[in-house]
Amino acid sequence: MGRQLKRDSLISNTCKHKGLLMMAIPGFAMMLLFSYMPMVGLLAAFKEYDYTLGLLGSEWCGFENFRLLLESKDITIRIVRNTVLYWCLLTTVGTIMNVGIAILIYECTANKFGKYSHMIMIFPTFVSWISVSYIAKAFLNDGNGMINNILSTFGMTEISWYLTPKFWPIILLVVHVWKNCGYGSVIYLSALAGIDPSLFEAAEIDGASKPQKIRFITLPMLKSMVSINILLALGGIMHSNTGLFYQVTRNTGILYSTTQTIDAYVMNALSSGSDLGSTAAVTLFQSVIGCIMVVSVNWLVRRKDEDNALF
Amino acid sequence: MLCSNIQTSASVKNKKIKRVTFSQLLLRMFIGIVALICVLPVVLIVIVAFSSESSVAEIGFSYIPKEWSFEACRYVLKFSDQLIRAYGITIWETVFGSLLTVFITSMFAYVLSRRDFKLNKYLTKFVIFTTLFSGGMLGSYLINTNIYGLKNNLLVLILPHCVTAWNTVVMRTFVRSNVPQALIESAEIDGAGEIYTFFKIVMPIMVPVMASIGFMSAVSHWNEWQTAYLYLDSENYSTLQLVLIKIEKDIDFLRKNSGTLSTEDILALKDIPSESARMAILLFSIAPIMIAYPFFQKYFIKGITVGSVKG
Amino acid sequence: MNKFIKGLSAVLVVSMLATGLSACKKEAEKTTETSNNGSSDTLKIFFRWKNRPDCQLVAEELSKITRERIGVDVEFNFGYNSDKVSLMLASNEPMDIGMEAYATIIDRARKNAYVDITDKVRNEYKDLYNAIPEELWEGSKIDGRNYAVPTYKEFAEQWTVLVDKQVLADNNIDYTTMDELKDVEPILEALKKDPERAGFEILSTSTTHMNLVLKNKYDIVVEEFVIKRDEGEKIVHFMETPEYKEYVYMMRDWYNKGYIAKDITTRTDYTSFHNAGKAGMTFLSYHPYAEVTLGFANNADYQTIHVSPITKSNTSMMATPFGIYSKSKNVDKCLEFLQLWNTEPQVKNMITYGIEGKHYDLVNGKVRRREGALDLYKNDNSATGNMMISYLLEDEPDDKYEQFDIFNKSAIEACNLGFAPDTSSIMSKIAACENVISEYNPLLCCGAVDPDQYLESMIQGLKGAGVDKVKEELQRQYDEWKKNK
Repeated sequence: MGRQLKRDSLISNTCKHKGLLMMAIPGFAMMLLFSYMPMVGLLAAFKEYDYTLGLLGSEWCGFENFRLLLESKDITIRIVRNTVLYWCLLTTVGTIMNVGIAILIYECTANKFGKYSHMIMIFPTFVSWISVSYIAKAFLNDGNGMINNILSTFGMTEISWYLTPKFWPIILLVVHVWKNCGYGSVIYLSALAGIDPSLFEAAEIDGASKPQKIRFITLPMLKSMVSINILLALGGIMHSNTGLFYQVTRNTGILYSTTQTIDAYVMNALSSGSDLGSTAAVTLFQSVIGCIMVVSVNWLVRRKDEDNALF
Repeated sequence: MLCSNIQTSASVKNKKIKRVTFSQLLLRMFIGIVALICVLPVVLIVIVAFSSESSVAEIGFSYIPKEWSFEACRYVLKFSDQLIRAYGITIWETVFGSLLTVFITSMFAYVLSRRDFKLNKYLTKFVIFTTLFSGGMLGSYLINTNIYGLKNNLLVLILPHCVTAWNTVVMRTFVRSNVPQALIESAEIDGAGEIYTFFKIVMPIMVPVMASIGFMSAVSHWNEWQTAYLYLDSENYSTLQLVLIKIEKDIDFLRKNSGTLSTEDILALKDIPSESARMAILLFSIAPIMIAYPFFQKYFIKGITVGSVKG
Repeated sequence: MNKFIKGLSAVLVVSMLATGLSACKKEAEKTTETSNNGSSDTLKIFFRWKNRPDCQLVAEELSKITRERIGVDVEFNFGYNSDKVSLMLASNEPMDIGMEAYATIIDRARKNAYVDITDKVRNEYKDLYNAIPEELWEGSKIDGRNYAVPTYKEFAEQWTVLVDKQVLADNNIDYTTMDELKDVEPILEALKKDPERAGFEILSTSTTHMNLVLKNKYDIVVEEFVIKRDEGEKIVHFMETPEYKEYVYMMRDWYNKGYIAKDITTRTDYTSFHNAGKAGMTFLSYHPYAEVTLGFANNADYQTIHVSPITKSNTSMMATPFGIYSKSKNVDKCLEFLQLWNTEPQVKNMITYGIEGKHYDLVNGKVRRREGALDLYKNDNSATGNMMISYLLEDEPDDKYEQFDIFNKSAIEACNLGFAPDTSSIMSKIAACENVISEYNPLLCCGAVDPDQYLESMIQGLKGAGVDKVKEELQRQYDEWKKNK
């Protein structure tokens, strides 16, 4: 059978699976129309935009628009470093938390407690970033901030959080995990919900303990989902959430050394939004780096285990 | 088969309940603490929304306000006409948008999961590419308005983000790891068409992932404001988040520019509760989607019994 | 499980139908819209303000006048921010007249977003040209051309400190000799003694108060690149001047002495100063009677202490001009309308205050707003066309516009008035400099950090961001401009 499949050509194989082709068409068409067509806009990255001439008519200007990111060595190094390091930190800890919570909730679904807990954990997803920044301020404020109140009750010296860059990687991590742990675990929960229960029964009969079951059944089932998620996220290694890095930090200058990312920098530089060329250039830059990362890491994963690779 | 499965899993559960051990207790306590951490800041939001503005001004955000007040809610309710219309638009967008997403994506993902469909080699790359490169705001805007004529058309809220690579790939991964190849092959041997196989045999197994993708898509529709801001000029088509952001911006603008305002503005300003109103605004946006949440949760935290339907 | 899918497919079918229907409905609405007022004889005007319920009503009322006078309708579009306008300009949506800001108009004009109206206003629309002082037309030129109709109001600027008269009287402070920011220290000392009063009301999130020092001796070229007004020769960066150094050390001193709120770093708005007690020392960009307005609102009787001379600068002359978009198909009608707007009190008043008898009444020739009218319609008088022909509000002094005129006439010219540098080649360097400045400057400006430590870091940062290259390029353009002047 396998040999037979190999022999039939792409076209005859496609003709054989007309049903599949039909089911793929709506999704394919939507992507073509709404993801591929707009890529024309990336041309603006290489053009000196002129409103009367339009996107296609404007003059080419080479890599002029890319200078926004590459002008000052100090700043470029800093914002790229921050973006990449935060991506690593948030993705690693975030994924661990999401998987952990999914497993814990899964173990608790026998009673209502787990369900209600998860429902509560979803709450923070709906709090807009502006409001998160207000809540963060309530905790970290100088005068009447709650953390400082606690510190002073225990006789410790108060800390000016908004003036001290070194604490911010941790603060931002906590905020990120807080906002995403419930929501991010949803996808892993659905993966767990699909596990065939007979696997557990078989393990039970073999006398496996709970930790063993998690280790040998649950985690392997999640492996491909985790791997796919990280691979997909790699494409955004140069992207950062402006809500987290711009609003929660209140764009405080003194914290830039540990909090400013590429997107936050661009937001500062192009606040009026009138420079269409530079905006496109930044988007393209981020995409190209992301693309390189995904293709190379995917290649590595593919060599180890084809099932966990993206393509 | 089905009955026996449920019976065995029930007996497994019974055994577990007898063994509500120390580790179970520890587990629950841990989940409880995580849930508490997630909910505490949200409680703060509720409390501040019902605190008086002078209390907020004096002691900041606090779990124990000096004075309670409905002023903030009353202020937000001043915009009730707009809010009701916005609820209508947003609910429409959320329901139909996420349904369409789930429907198209699940078909597409199933096709991509089929290893015997040769076109997949190219389709997968076609899908992944969209996560790496996007046209940016300019590209999408030009294409959507000039070519598709979506300006001031409500469909713009649903169509552009309908099929995303992330959703598709996650669903594909789920199908690959949870739907046995043998099941599809046996259906084919029985003479079932591709489409019949998908809807009658594969789809029931995909329910958990469909529910979670549906939920996530609903959340993103619910939080969406940028599309509405850029494409829908009429106030009548504002989505909920956009209306709320406009109210917030209004407060913000008045607050930050009081040096250059006219007398009228400054007097108007005195009547606006700012911080508490912000939190009240948040309550208006969280409540409805939280009510919808249990519906989704039912399907992705089914736990052990879900898988038993297959066979 | 099948129930879930059945339900899902049922809802999906319904949703498809509903979507289709709504699309059809939308389509139908669109066609009726275009047949009503979407014709080429409607001028679409874009404002930044928030939309209010009666905007269309006012536009319809205004259209009655314009249809009779110039044969076109007008349509108001409120709530259009800069980012959205940029995208709309790039698409093929019809747009005619737009409200601009100094920050964006230069860039957009150079990218041909606006019609060059220099010759037309001088030759064909003389009424419009004459309604606005010539110096304002000249002062709002970009590369020697007019791309927008400037807004005639107070077009000079002066930076001023305001203090409650009570404080001055109680402490016997002679304020008449104070003409620089550093002179006001005795007032702050006096304010500190009264625990109920706020001190110097500044924010760490905004550096507007830096103008109190900067505008005393310098004129701005771009961002913080300045020229000393007396000399008018060399372009320097303000952060590298001795004045700036003196200023940040002074602010640090004031912060340590307790003249500035200790929790300055987390305050986000000015009103927080007035929630707890009485007014302290505040500041503003002055125009005649501004102290009355603010004093009324803050419940204080303010004395003004001017800390910079009255100057006419590029920014003050180009505040909220109205330009005609180059994709407009009715450039002449737009100009006719702008002419009406700037010469016809009836038109100007309607755009500013709404409809008489609905939004306001005239009492002794002044505007009395009806209750709740501001929630229905609102437009800023000083940012919409020729202010000098508009009605006064009921509580405004009779001689307000005369005072404005005197204020304008007494202004001295900035040494770089009319010089709009082409920053396209140095834009990214300026952005890098701005980033360095926003890292250090806000806290230095409010005294919250030690200048010993941060001032040098900022100057080094600026060097790394290419401040010298920017100065060089600006200087080159400036010298050239001066030669040709």
